[in-house]
Amino acid sequence: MRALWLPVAVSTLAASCSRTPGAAATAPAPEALAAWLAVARAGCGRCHAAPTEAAMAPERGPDLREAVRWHRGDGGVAFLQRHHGGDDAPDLAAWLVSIGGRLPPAAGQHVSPAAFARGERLLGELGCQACHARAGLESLAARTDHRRLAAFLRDPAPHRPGVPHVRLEPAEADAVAAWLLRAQLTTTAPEPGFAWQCFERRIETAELPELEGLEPSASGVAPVIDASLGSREHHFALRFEAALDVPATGDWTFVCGSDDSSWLWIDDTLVVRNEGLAPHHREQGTVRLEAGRHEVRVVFTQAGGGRSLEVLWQGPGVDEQPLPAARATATRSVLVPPAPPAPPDAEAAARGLAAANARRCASCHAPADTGLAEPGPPPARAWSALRGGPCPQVPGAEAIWSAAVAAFAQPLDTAGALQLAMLRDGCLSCHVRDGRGGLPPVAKKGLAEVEDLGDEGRLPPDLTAVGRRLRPAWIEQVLAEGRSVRPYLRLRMPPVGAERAHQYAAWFDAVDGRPGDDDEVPFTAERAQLGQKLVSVGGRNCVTCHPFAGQKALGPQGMDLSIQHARLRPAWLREWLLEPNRLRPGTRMPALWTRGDAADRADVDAIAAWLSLGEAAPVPAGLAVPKGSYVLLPTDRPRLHGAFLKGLSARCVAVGTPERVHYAYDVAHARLAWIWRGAFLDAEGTWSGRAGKLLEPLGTDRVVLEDLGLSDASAAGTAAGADDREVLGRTMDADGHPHWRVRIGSAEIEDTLRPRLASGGSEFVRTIRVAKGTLHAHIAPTSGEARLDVSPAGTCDLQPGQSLEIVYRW
Amino acid sequence: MVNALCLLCLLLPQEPASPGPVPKAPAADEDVYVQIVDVPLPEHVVLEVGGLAVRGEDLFVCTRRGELWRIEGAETATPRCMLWAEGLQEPLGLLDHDGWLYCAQRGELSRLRDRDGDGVMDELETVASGWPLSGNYHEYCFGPALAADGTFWLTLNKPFGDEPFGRADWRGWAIRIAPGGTGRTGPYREFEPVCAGLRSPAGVGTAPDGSIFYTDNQGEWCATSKFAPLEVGDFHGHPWGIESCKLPESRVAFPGEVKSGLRIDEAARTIPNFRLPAVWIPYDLLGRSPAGFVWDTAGNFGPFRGQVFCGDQYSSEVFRMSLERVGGRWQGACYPFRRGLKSGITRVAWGSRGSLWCGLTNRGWGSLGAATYGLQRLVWRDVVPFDLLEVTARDDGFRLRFTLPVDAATASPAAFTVTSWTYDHHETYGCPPRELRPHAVDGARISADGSEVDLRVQDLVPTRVYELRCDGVRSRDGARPPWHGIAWYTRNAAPAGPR
Repeated sequence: MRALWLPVAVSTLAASCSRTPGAAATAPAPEALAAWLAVARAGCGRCHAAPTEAAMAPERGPDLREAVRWHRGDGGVAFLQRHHGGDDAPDLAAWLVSIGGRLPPAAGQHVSPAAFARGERLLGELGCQACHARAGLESLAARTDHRRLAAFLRDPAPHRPGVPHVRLEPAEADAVAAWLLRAQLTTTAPEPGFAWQCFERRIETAELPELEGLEPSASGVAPVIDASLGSREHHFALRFEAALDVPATGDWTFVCGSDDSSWLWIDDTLVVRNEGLAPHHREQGTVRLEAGRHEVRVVFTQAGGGRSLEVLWQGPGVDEQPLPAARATATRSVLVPPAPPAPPDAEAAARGLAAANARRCASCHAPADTGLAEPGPPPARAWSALRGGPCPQVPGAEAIWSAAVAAFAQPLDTAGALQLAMLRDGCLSCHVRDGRGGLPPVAKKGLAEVEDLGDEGRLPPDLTAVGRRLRPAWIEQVLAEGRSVRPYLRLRMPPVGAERAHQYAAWFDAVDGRPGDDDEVPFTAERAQLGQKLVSVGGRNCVTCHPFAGQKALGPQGMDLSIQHARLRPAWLREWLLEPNRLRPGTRMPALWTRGDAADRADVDAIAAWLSLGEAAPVPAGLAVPKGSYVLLPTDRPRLHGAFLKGLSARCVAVGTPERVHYAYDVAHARLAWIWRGAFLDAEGTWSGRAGKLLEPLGTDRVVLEDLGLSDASAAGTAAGADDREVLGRTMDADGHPHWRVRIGSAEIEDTLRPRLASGGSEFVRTIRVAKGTLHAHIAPTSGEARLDVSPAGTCDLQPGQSLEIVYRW
Repeated sequence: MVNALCLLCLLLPQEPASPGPVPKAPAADEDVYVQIVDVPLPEHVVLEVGGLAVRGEDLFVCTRRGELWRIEGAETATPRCMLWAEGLQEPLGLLDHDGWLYCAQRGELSRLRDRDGDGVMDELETVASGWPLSGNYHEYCFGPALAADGTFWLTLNKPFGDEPFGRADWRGWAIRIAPGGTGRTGPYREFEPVCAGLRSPAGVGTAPDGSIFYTDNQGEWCATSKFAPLEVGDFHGHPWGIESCKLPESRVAFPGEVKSGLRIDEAARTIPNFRLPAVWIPYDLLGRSPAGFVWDTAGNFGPFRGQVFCGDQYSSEVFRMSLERVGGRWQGACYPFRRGLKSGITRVAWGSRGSLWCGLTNRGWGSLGAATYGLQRLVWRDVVPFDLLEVTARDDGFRLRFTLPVDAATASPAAFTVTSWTYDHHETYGCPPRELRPHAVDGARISADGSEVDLRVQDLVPTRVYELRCDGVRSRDGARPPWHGIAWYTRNAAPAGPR
């Protein structure tokens, strides 16, 4: 288990450290840091107040009522003894159990048999042992249950506020929790058929519901996969699992037919997706399987209306038929947690409360409604007055004190404060900075290498000079949200919360930053266009290894290009492109501009200009959407997609451009409705299953446009003017841009939008040409969030052949 | 196998409890007469076919993805696919007319052309629009079919629900559009709602006489799939959209409350303007989801000239139908023809060289053919099979015409089996055969040339489906058993007297 300690308020720690701008960082002595850390972890500041010791003010510990619920079995006696010492642990535990409320009895939790191996693998790949000792992890089985542990792994924040911890996806949390608690495993005897569970929940959409960690309403083993196992008529999900004995190696086709949706996985790979809130419909998928055992999993959802489910297979020597129970083996794995602690003895609990008050537990732990007294002022002497005697609450206090006295003589500077915080938050348990820290060998061993990138693709990034490399805002974002940007790294960044993230960003900037780090290359459209060519296939081929805006690279998957402008400080970016090996010896990033002359620097500036457009940069040539994806990626011409658009109408056309600005024309209402940037559209809702889903833009910066003030001049003053309009059709120009023909009253216009590259992302130039009648235009300077630059400006009447130009900037 | 089955049929008492399995010859036997030719497609060409139009050597294909492809040299060994247009909204029909391609999108009838001849569409005109959409996926729009009077006909699917843009009028209707009219929008004329009560009218087409027919898919208020003429003012049975009958534009009188559970003959008698189909297509005996159809007016398929060829989106087969006018109304029979296509068939069209294009997609529904989309064609091998050519009604029975002369010795009454049933008109999804019963055949008179056999059948009642099998009959030359030897005749009415 992770060493238990009480975190220190960053703000107060920061206040005690002097900033040394521009100065090279001088690392504090390791002994001094160790002493600071020891004082922080012991929580000396709970009782011993003093100016220097402001840094030691403890944060809140876990809520005691919540904490005790982690202790089935002995109610926490062993835990208290180990972590808080003293011989009053049984009394304290009795009191804690009395305030914790009754734990549910030891009901078994069914887990997927595949979860254990997956959990073990994840434990290694996520580098858990960077911080956790194996023994501590294993002890969890003696005290808690799967649902609680999985909930913690999904979202640790409510359980241990302020303690950085990675967040796992629900299925991962389920698997890791299963592995950690495997000592609780009770396995039912294998039997023919399919293990099934029913989950009662409202099914509103055709999409796959999250079932991990939910309590099933019914379960069993069935000879056939069937919708009738639902424990009620409507709104439930069924999950079937079994080991399937595949009789022969070859291509196997699986069919799911259902009302409503169904999915089928083989060995954790989705083979059939049959989504739709609709009468019985079928989808199928084919997968090559070796003869032998394969895990099959089927999920079925029922919303309202009729229900049906059939799962069939067909393969070498097997005609299409329902998955036979004779070839399916169900093994149900049940984790049975320890029994809840016995109801506490009232006297022991009363003694425990008294002990807790004496120990001043409330100075760290939430006291509300627990019977704990609010802690009074510290009864002990100020830190400066201490002379190193024993402490009644902290074993080994003398040693802590004597080390601290020496350390406190020299206040921490910014670099020291940063280093202490990184030790405290466990950063250096994974990362190296200035040659210190890094993963322990036991954790390194479990790491997986996803791409052929050597240690660069396995180990967390070296944080030496990270403040010069990354923009402070980026550091803040990564730390606050735990954002991971290296697709090849299985390790995950634990979030540290907004407050600390902000502090870290300032520290890294102060310690590592240099003047000129943020000098940007002036943007020009020409530079950006050259940059696009350079990153493309046929240029410097950056997209061979770097994805762009979620589109996969052609070879190994490095870091996405579209985030690099937001991420890297401009000076470092230029340096990095010119001399990657000097900045990171051994990197797989090739040195492509080795002359370092004016031409090389111009190339690098062009790439910087192109990168500055982020996700809205023109798409590099050579990229394509992967097989099976429905994402529309305009590369060499505009793409048109007719669809239902959410909030608009059932008759819309979305137009995407390679310049990465896109628009939606609401044909039913004859108006330009949306403009947006970046990624265009995922056509899955119109191109898969029975389709007809409401689509929304994939990209960013969507502007919902207000109507333009266009009307039929001849109908001025009549109600018919503005709303009597319709799309008459469209013509396509040689570049593939549509010209919308729209009738407004008795006038007709031709409405065209063309993208234009500009700093911060392309803009739209809209031309409205009058074809017939007289158009009255009165255009506001804004439409939604977009600024409009209109010429001719002001109110005007346009005759046939005349046009209006509007530039949309947003 | 086939012979053994025939023998069994002769020996066993004729009292089936249900229509029973059709003695289907393996698809390989069908290949003797009709070849399936697959069109190889590049990987990026996803032809989930919604519409087909043939223009010379080129085939135009619009897809459910909203693309319109031009396939150059489609019937040659090296077809070339070129994207001609995109951004259409689930276009489910295509018609070449007057130099334009007419195309039904969900919310409009459009026409498209390539003015500058550079090989891609550059002009799209909205011909008509204005029928509202609720946004439910099932509100498909099929067509157009061009009628003799120059009007374009579209069929509008009924939705499952009315989300998210609100319940829409005219769903489950056939509408027609007059070209170049003087409607509200200048040259763009409003549509005219002409027939109500459609369910999932996946095929709409033009008969040789210029009248319009459609296919409907089995489901609620549609006991089994059907093929019916569309005539102004008719109600085809599905009550989803009948409130629209009360709107002033409606050409269909409001049929009143439609009661669930009537026998189909009672429904036809009591519901105003109720139109019986020309052909009931018995569910699972002959496909499940009929879609596009064409008449073979050119004799592309040998002896079957004049008949209707229809694709089925589930069973991945093309079946045929023959029609006759009895009592002033169309009725007729359906017959198996060619199974084994690789995916569900949505559209069929005659190629310039006389083969039958089959446009395929099964996305969202599944089909017997396992491919999810594609393009195949049927090529007549110019070998005439021995089979039932056409069944027509006689006042006392049926006339069975054969493709080749029948061996008179085999054409005894015992060689034929007749079974009939009816359906309920109800809200439940589909309907099994009701009042299923065998009919005694007490006379079989063969014509002098041996090509026709008149059957006298006992206890004939109108408004029923008659299954006719001729398993015991053999051809005069070669003593061949019939190719399929089965027909389902929809006997809405009997001819007035002996012919």
